[in-house]
Amino acid sequence: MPYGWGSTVADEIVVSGGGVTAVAVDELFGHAQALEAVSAEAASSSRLLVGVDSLIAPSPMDASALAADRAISRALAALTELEGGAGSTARALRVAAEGYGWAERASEAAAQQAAASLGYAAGFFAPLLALLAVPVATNAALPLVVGAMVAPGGLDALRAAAARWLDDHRGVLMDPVVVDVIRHSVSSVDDVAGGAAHAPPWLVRFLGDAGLGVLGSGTSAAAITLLGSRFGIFAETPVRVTATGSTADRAAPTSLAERVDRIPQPERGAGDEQIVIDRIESPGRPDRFEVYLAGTVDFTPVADGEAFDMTSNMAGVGELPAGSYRAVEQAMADAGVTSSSPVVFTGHSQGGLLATALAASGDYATAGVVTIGAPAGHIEVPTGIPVIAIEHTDDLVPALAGVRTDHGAILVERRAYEAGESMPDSPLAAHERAPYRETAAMADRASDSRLADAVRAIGRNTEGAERVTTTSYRADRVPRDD
Amino acid sequence: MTHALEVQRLALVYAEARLEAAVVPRLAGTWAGPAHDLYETRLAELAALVSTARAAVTEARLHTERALRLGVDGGR
Repeated sequence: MPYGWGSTVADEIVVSGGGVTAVAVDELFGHAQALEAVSAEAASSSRLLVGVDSLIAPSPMDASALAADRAISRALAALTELEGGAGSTARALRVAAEGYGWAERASEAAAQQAAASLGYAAGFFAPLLALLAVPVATNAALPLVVGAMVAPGGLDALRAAAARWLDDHRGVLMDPVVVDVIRHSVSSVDDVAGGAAHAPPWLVRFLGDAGLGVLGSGTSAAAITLLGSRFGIFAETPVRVTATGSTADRAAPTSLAERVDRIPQPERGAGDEQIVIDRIESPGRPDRFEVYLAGTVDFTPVADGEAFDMTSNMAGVGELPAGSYRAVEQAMADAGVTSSSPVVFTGHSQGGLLATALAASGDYATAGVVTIGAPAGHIEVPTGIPVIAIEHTDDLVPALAGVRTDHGAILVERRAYEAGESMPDSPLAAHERAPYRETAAMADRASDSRLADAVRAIGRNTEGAERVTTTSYRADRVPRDD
Repeated sequence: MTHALEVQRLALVYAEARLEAAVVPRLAGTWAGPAHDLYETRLAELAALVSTARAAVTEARLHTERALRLGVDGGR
């Protein structure tokens, strides 16, 4: 099926970020590199032939030497044309990728500006909109309520019908366009609040993502968290971490896919571990660490026993001291990670959010970050730390952090489920680890030099490993009255 | 001069090997767009240039080997 740059389907990845603007399908970055290599080979062979051509001056009687001389001249002509042609084509590919990147940034900024203006207007006119909505909502809701009361099965039937509708339309939530709309809506929450407060539009813009970055998706999440905690939801608690086991029978991970394989997958209510830490030992080198972090286990908004819960999610997006963040700090201290220990963080979903936040904190000697499906695009990691953020364009979870403001991370995008193919059962199928594992394996094989360099840099953390000790940790919330 | 011809032969053998590594990529068929045909044509032209250069270098090597066998001294 034909498609243009910037769209992604299941069998390829699009790479962007890494502090540069270029965006392209990985295949085209591969072409640019291959053509540059062809141009270099042509130049090198030309120099060689020019050198040997001057060695011999064949006489008109030496037919073979003359024929060789003529063939060398023909080869030189072809090589000169090849060197220029392959080089200019490679440059054209890179310029096109760069241009596409600029165009994408510009359209993203325009879309965000439009969403922000719309959000501001919605907030500004919220009371009027609410008044206008009353008759509409009443007209729409009344038949539903009455229908639910008189229909066989009542509310249960209504609930079942709603569930059926969601099931029938699960593809909507996996539509990359819908995911993008959600992303911009999240980024505009602060604009809605600014409009509702009747703050001057220029001030909201100045403080927002496009300006100082004081307001944004993080601030909105922090505000919701702090407000919610007054009503018993998203209320943080102390946490307790317990080491549940340790083994020394694993080899060190050597690829992104192997790192993804090691992220724990705890089940809700099963008391499984959410944190796994590998200690890498080699003679003559300081111990290095690999930290693997699970995603959200409990999605209820009221903090209970689970530390990797929705409360930690909200606090994490709001860049507040989330329970799961504090739990990872405790586990790392227990495992012997110090501020100077080289450490690579790998996390899925909330785990990726934590991985990014830990790297951004500056409290650790972070040697790399690998995230899959993480709502962490609003957290800026210091320059020099290789960050690979893998996101599916049909996964709405990364969109919950709003529009990406950190352009230093290398963003690897792919559409996990192609439109038209049989839809998976869950609207969050693209967020699951199995398709992300496939994408990570594609990233391991990628041609793009930025991505390949980052994969190599992160891989150096486990080079020469002689002994790997793996420790698993369980993090629980502790009630405040304990 | 036999020595010069031998140097030429070795250089041509080396150039042949280098050009074997010069592989013009091909589209895997996953990308299409307005510039697709133009780009595919460009890749075909570059691949043809590689073939021409390789063939000419091989031909030059064969002629050089023949000159060596005949003991022709074309050195300066």
